[in-house]
Parts: sequence; structure tokens; C-alpha cells
Amino acid sequence: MIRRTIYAVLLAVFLLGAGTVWYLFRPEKAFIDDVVDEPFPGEVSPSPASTGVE
Amino acid sequence: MFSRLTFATLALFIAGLFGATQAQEKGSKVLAKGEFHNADKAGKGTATVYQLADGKRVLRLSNFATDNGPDLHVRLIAADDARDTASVAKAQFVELAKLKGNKGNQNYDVSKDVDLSKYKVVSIWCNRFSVNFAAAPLKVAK
Repeated sequence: MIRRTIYAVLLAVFLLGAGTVWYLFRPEKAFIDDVVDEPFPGEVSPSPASTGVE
Repeated sequence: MFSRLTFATLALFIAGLFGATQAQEKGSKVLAKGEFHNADKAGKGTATVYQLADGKRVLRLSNFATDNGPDLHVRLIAADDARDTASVAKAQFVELAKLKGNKGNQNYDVSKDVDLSKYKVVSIWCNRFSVNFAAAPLKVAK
């Protein structure tokens, strides 16, 4: 019974520590996984609104 | 099925796209251009260095795509090509910026000091693991 309690406490401490480390470093934020669509420099991106048809 | 208004809208939209593309090229000049190829990861798209009307130089990645990864950067490499990591690791380089996205169209300023006859390859470089994801050898326009 005591051994089971010790394991439970150790597991809780481990999970808490792992969660804290993850929160501090956020490794997934360093990952670049984005779609960007910049217009040509100095140009406005074309859109249907610019066709003049109302 | 298409109404006249729909047809006219589509025609004007396509004409607008065509006109916008031509307008892009009006005030700018292509200095160098190349296609991305795979290196240690997959990569595709076009890399073009433009000189804008105001003299500023810009590297534009168009229809670009590479694998996602940590801490990716855009570098110009002093080499003829860079098909693996080793060829980039031993070459001189100029760091342009952190990669804005692993897909899409994007622009990066190129300093006037950068000699395009020396730095002839665009590399997508992973700083975290020192890996050359993809590269585009540039051909200087004449």
C-alpha cells in the first residue's frame, strides 16, 4: 500500500515537472508550419473587388 | 449555366490577375532566378532576386513549399549548388532572415553588399539541427 502511494506521488511529480518544462520552453512554437502569401513588394494583391464589378 | 454577369466577373478577374502580374514586372528587374530542389528534405518553388524601382533588392520565394521544421532560416550560400547539408555547412553564407512560412509566397530583403555572383544558392537551413532542407541555385540574369 505504501509502495503504491510512493509510485503515485512520483508519477504526479514527474508529470508536474514535465508539464512545467514543456510550458517554459514550448518547443512546438519553434516549429515553422505556416502558409504565407505576401504580395510582390510595393504591389497590392489582386482581388475580385479590384475588377470594378459591383 | 453561367450568367453574363458571372462570365464578365470571371473575365475581369482573370484580366486583373494578368494586369497585376505585368505591373509587378514593370518597375522591377530580375537579377537572378532559380528553382528549389530537394536537399535533406523536400523543397519546391521558385527563388527570384529582384531589384525594385527604388533600388532595393528582394528575394521572392514563389509557390514555395518545404517540410515543416524547427528554427528554419533563409540563407544565401557561396556555392554553385547545395544538394546536401555538408556542402552548405562548409560554405560561406549570408543569413537573410528567419523563414516566414514553409509554404507560400514570401519576400526577403537582400542587402546591397551581398555579391550575387558569389552567393549563388538560396538555402533553407535548420539552425536547430544544422540541416539543409532545400536549396535553389540561382542563375544571374544577363
